[in-house]
Amino acid sequence: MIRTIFILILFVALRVSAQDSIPVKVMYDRLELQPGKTILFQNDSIRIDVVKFYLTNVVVGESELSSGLLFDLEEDQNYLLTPVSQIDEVQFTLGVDSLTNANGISGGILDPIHGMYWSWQSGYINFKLEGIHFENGIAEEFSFHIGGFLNGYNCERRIQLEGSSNVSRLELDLNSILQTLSTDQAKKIMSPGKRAMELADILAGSFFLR
Amino acid sequence: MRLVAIFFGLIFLLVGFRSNQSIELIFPSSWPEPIYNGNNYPLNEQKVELGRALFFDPQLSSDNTISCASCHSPYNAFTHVDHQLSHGINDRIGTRNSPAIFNLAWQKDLMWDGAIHHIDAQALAPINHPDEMGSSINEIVQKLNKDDRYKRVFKSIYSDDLITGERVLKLLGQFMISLVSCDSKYDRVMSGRDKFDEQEKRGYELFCKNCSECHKEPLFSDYSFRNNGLESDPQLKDIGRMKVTQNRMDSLKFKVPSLRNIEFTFPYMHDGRYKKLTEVIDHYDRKIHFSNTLDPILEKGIHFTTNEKVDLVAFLLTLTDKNFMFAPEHGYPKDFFDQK
Ligand code: HEC
Ligand code: HEC
Repeated sequence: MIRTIFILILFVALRVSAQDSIPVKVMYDRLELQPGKTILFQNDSIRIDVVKFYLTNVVVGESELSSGLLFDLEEDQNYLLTPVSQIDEVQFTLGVDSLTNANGISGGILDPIHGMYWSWQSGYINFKLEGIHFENGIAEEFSFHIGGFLNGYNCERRIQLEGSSNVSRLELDLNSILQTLSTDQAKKIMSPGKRAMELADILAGSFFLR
Repeated sequence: MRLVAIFFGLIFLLVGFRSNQSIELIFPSSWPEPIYNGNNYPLNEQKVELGRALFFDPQLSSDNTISCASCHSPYNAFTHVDHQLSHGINDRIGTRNSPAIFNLAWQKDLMWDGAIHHIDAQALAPINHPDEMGSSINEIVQKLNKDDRYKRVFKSIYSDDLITGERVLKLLGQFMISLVSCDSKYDRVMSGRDKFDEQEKRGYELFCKNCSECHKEPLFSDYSFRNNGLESDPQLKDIGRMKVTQNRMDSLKFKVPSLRNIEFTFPYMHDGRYKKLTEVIDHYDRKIHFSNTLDPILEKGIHFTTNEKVDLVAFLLTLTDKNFMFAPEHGYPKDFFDQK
């Protein structure tokens, strides 16, 4: 009897230790981004205040993770818990899938208390990026709230990444999306639509396993 | 020992039974099935009750002065009547007239422009709106978690007393879905329990001929978005449905409102521009404003003689459901708020 219990405990302990975590990091120019810190951008600078986004329906190798992640630059603990340490392939949704959205409100990381639900229109905000762009002595605020799942503007993006043998983390590289600040496109995207779709496409190509 | 076990078993059964009482929406058999997906969470008596407390609780606004019921009063079929546009905290004025709330289980999209797709998400709009309640779900959850009255009921419903944003929103949703108005004179006539008088009968015929294409029986709306020829207000510049779909063809279209309880839901239209039903009928008669998206049905206006107008109003008054408006289970939940 005692032996069985002992084996059982050992088994459980082993399983727990087999759990691994993939840190998720936000990068700019190959450096990890710090909240509220100013970074050099072309000849000027940018201060990033908010980076917040959902990674959901995560599949590592063959196994689907039980929970997703609400990444928040302000938190130090941003990682995906995986059952395996060897990661050769990861799939996830950037944002919240339309079925979940259609069902209204959910709990946990999807509880609207986290500030990732629109109020004057429906649906979760998949991705938030806010900050200030300093250019020629002028400070211009920007905020990209990317989301929406109705009326042909579905911003959820399924992303699939292949890793090499020594993958240590999942990175979001902000270079491409920040490049859009130097164009004359709108700097405040706060609702679903064509521009949100384009930005979602840019973001979908900005994740890397490294 | 055995007795004690039986005793506790019984208590468990009773408690389990009580917190599990699901309720069905009651409506005439001739109505269509609700489109609201009850599978998400069947209505539950205790949850509907708790949702009602939240609906009447001014703690949901930043300065504890405005509740949902401030703008959606049960005695006016859950709208408010004294202002054209809704008034929120610090007497700030919103940009639209508050709609009446009932029969939401049959509506796919909420708000005049359909911006909200799910009843559980609805409350976030007024909660966050700086001119309405000026709060946030986060702030509300923090306040309610300090309120023993709520803690007690949450515990008896959910087995833990954690008040989360998800729970608060779904409870409000349960209460609102439970609001069904189907006991007007019109309903009694349709089920053979009452009769229209001659004037109402003539009014009903005029209605069927001219209005029911959009204000479709038995809900008195097809809940589509249409332009009924209101001239756009240059100050409010409200483009309606187009704001949501970004499609030019949806410019100036608004959700067709139900005409149930219309006697009590003045002022009328999305911006509350008309105070009387006769003004509304005059609008259809001679004020239709032409624009690209005007509904084709209204291109020539709908013309009535003076007598016909009186008949039509007489019919519209048969849509009043006083049993709905004055039902004690829809009013201020005094017992809940009187607890310590
Ligand atoms: C300051 C006034 C005000 C307050 C307070 C308020 N509402 Fe409203 N409500 C409105 C207005 C105005 C609209 C229409 C807005 C629009 O269409 O853009 C509306 C629309 C709605 C609708 C949609 C009805 C339909 O037929 O489409 C529902 C449901 C609703 N409110 C529920 C609530 C709830 C729940 C609360 C409390 C959390 C609340 N309201 C608080 C003014 C208010
Ligand atoms: C082409 C569709 C259409 C037809 C036909 C139509 N309506 Fe309407 N009605 C609407 C729409 C859309 C609104 C809301 C418009 C807005 O607020 O922008 C409305 C609003 C109303 C309102 C105000 C309701 C409220 O709660 O504010 C009344 C009353 C009304 N209609 C009565 C009538 C009557 C009576 C007739 C027949 C003579 C009629 N309607 C014919 C589409 C229609």
